[in-house]
Amino acid sequence: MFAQKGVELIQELERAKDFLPPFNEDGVRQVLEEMRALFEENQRDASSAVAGESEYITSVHIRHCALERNKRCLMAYLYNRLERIKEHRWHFGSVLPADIKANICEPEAQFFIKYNKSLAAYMKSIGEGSYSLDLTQNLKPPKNLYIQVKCITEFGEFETEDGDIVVLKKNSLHLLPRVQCELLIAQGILEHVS
Amino acid sequence: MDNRFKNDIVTTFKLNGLTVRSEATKYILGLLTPLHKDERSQWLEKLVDVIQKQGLLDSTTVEKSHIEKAAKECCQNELDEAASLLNVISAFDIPKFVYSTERKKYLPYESPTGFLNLFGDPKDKAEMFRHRYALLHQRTSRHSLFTPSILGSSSTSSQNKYQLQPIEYLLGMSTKLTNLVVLGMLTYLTEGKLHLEDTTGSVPVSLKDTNFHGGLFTENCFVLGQGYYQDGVFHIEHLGMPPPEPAKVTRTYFGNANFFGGPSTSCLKLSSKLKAQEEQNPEAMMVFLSDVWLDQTKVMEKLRILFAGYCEDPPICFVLMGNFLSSTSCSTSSGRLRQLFKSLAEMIKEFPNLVEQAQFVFVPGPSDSGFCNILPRPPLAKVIREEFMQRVPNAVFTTNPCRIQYGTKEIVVLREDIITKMCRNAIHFPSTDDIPQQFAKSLTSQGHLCPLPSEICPIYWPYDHALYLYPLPDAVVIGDRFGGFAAQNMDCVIFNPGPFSRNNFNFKVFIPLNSQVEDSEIGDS
Repeated sequence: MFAQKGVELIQELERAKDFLPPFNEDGVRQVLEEMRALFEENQRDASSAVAGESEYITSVHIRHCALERNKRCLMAYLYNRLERIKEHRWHFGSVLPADIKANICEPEAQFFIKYNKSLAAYMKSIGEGSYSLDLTQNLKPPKNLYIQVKCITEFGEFETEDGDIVVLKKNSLHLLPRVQCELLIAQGILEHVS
Repeated sequence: MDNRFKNDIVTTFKLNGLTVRSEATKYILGLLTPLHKDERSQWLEKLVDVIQKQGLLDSTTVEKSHIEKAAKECCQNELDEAASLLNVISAFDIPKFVYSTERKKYLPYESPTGFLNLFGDPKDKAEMFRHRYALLHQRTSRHSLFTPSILGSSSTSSQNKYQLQPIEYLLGMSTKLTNLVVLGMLTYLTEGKLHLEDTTGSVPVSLKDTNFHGGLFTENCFVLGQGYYQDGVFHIEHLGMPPPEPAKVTRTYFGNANFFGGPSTSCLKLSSKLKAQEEQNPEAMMVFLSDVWLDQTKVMEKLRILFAGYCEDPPICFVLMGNFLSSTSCSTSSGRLRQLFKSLAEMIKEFPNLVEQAQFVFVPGPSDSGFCNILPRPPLAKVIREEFMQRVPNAVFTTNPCRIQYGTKEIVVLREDIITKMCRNAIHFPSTDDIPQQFAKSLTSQGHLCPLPSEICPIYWPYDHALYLYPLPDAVVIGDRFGGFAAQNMDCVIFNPGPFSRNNFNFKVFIPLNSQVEDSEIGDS
């Protein structure tokens, strides 16, 4: 069936809901090959249809539909991947974990950097003066401003925004402003103890 | 004031989703405080940009070392790229990439010890062949003959399709199989009995009624065999080289990673800056000489004529390949070489134009003193080159093989009697006289400089990647005893300057802009 490969791409993405599968370069290439073949066939038939042989029109039509469908599948595949990459920015911060980094292709990595940049520029622009608003923080309304955290890894000195230096040693407990340590929790350096 | 700026730094990084170590903040403060206020934030943003593009970070914490690296890169970007117009890359600095079958990508090789041993483990020898096989297998299976036919294409193109079979498929069959196509390495597993081997197994082959296609087939070279399998023997009807692939196609699959080596992290093929610089000087040329016997007065005389001829209009570089002595090396030859290089330097000094504008590259030959002849071979000893370097500072003593990058062009240089050795060890000598063309075909098909068994041409196993020709470079220069020639295959020029001292003092001039090779000789008079 035409456009089978394109649908397979989408299926693959849909099945891996909770992680980003590696960019299927081979699959994409196969779809493009199929599109090229369809296009060439169509071009040939279309020119004979123009010459007056009307029986080709139906097949041209079907191939054209297949072309369009392939295109939509490819677009959907790329777009949904980008959406997931955007999501990662909010979850993991601006540095992707190594296993995700391994699964994205070069243009996607470029996109991630650019997205990051425009997000930072936007966040800088909404504050006034030297104060700027970090939108990635407090995605859920916080219950209290300070939280108790336990350090899981040997981190060393950590500087809070007001200039205090906290030494984060393994297995030490700290009471820190939630805003400061959210990023470290996401990275797995600190652990929230309730 | 300082505190405000410090806060600025922390927030800028934070908005980009990064945390900075306090010592890193101090470092930035030290770097940027002398600057004007507007400039500071500009530089700060630049720093963040570079840090993110480098991809060095594995967590969101920015260390001082990251900032240092980023600051250095920021400064480098400001400078011109002129320094990288001509680069001589030592074989030991060539990056090692390994094909990952699961991810269908070339990934930088990470050694468990963090570095490559010169003398590898037995495992490294197996890996060497496995990597070569992986390279050729992925390249072959992508070739249009082997890709599955596309739905919707016309029926004629889908007829001539083959399927590549692993050897284990043959071994598992008890019936006669016909029209098989197998990619494997030719080896003599038992005395006098040729086998075809791949990563899944090996099978004895019979070459009784074989039709040999172009190329020089030697032991340890990978071949595509088509034929039938019966009673445990693979009868090959057609034996050919795996189809080569132009560098352009390779790059569309593997992106712009720098396979070639050199300071740049990405491939320089697409650098418009270098391309423009190259085009500014359309008459730029490189002079290649092989077997320059410095101990013969006649050779020195001819070299003087050569240098005098190029004095007015210096080429980009002179590549002089060994052997530098006419006799084989003995205990006194190091001292001898040192003397001879000194007198060569004195001679070059007579042409100040050349000393200033041309680069001298020296590639050691197989019988030059110093190291035993295992590829890649380290450069000539410091003792020998010291006095030369004092007189002619613009000289590079490099390894054999080595790579030269000029602008966007990539050139691989090897001094070894490969053609002679391949002809001597071929399992089937081609009936045509056009050995250069056959040789060029073999090299581009194998994607390797030296597809010979280790007793004939030994290689340091962990450094096998230094001999890869993949993606194909623009030119391959082989310094061989065989007479000079130039052949072309898949946009890759392969040429041999021929022995300078033995054959009428001939050499080759390569013009990088249009990949032209010109024959030259000084003549014996």
